[in-house]
Amino acid sequence: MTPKGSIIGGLSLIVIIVYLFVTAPLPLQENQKIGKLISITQVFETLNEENRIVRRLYTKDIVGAGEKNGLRFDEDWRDAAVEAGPLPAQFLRATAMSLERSKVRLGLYLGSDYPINSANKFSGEQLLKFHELRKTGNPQFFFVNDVKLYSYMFADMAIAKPCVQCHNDHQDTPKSDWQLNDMMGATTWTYPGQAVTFDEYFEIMLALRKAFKAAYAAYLDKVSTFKNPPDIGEKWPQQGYYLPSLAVFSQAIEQQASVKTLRAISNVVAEKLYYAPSSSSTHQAK
Amino acid sequence: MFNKKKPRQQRVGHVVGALAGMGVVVFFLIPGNASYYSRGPLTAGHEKLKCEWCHKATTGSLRQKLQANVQYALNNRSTLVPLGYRAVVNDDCLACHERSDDRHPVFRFFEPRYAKARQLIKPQYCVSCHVEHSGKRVSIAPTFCSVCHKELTLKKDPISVSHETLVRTKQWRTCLGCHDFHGNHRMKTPTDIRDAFADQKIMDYLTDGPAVYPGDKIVNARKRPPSDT
Repeated sequence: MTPKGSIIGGLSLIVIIVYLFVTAPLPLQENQKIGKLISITQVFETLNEENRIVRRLYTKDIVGAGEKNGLRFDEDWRDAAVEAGPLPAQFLRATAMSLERSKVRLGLYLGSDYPINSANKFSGEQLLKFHELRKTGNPQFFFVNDVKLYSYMFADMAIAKPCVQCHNDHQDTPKSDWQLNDMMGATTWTYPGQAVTFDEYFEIMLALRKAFKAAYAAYLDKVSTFKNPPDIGEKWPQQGYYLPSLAVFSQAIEQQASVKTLRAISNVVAEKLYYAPSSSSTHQAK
Repeated sequence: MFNKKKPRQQRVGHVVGALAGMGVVVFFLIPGNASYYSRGPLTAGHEKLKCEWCHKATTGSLRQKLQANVQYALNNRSTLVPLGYRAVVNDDCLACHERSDDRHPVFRFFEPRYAKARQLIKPQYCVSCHVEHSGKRVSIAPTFCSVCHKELTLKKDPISVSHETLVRTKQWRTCLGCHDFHGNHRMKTPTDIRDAFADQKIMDYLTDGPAVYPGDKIVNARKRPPSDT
């Protein structure tokens, strides 16, 4: 290289270094988390408890009591010609669909080793985790490498007679001897981070609550098309041909779930169960 | 060398070249001329879409993006930042095509058990099957159902040729003859294979032909994304 070339090259390098480092503007944010972090496993546990409460509320107090008092629930409930509401599994799916449209990237899925629809059968690693869950009863935490998602699987139990009856009687069921309190499948939660800030925690929680409401609102929308719709207001199906309004249903969720959720959050703070990157798979560090 | 005076002819050439270059840039920047540098024809029904509804610039100045990518090269950052536009993602599609009862919503395929399907056809992304600028509604081969439904059995099969037979004989092209993949038409699914829609009609529809499934759409796509209203 000629001396002139070396000088130009050296000056260019200096300009590039100054341009890129010395007079650099603010760096672009890269999902930096500021403040104390909570392990996603703890978040999943709280979410699953909320989901368990809502699933019980919908299955027992809406579907179970409703069927005794003239309400119908059918897998083809979206069909305009079918005057029925969503089955519990479809209610969960509607919740999951609403979550998908929120910005939090929380995933919620329901599956089984004996599903009515064979396309919903667990396979691969998820099936192995489900076998472990069935054997031990312990929720299973794992990482889904190809999509970089942290995943937590919880048991889904036959909590009411309608669960057992519907699954045993369905024309496509691969198993017809389900009994009350059997582990019929599992709910799997996914999230693209190992830990979240408190702000993110609340955002996730609010997104889930909003998704429950959206799922119930969709049911009420369908009810409004019935030729003889039930009265919608303060009363519940166990009192007759009634359905709680969205506000009443939401209030019931809050009454039943909020104490436990608040207790879980308080416990993280009181016990200093914050996330520490070097901790074990439970990610709890005192 | 630097102080040497350029001949008049050369200077005129430079000016003409610069003006012509600017003219080309201005021409491509004029709204409506995007089709000249578009990668290919738009999907049927997308003709009136504005480029910016799907192609969104990444945040930050060019300098910040360059710096971020240098930091990535130095292992001080975990992600690269595209200098121009970010990749088109599901949210861009769902902004107009969101449906509450999609039979095969993309998000479902993020579930761990679909790892094999993700490996084969990436069903978790809209653009895996709907490649824009290809001139086709559906850009994947119409046998994709085989990825998830190879073990399909129905105890009380309602159709004239059983699903089990169709699966065993690998007649995967027949699936779409009866089933609307996203389930967005108010139609009764045929139970007699002779009532299924002809393969050629399905193929035409998947390209850019007329709608083949009967009945109204359950949810019509938005004319524009909510962010533009």
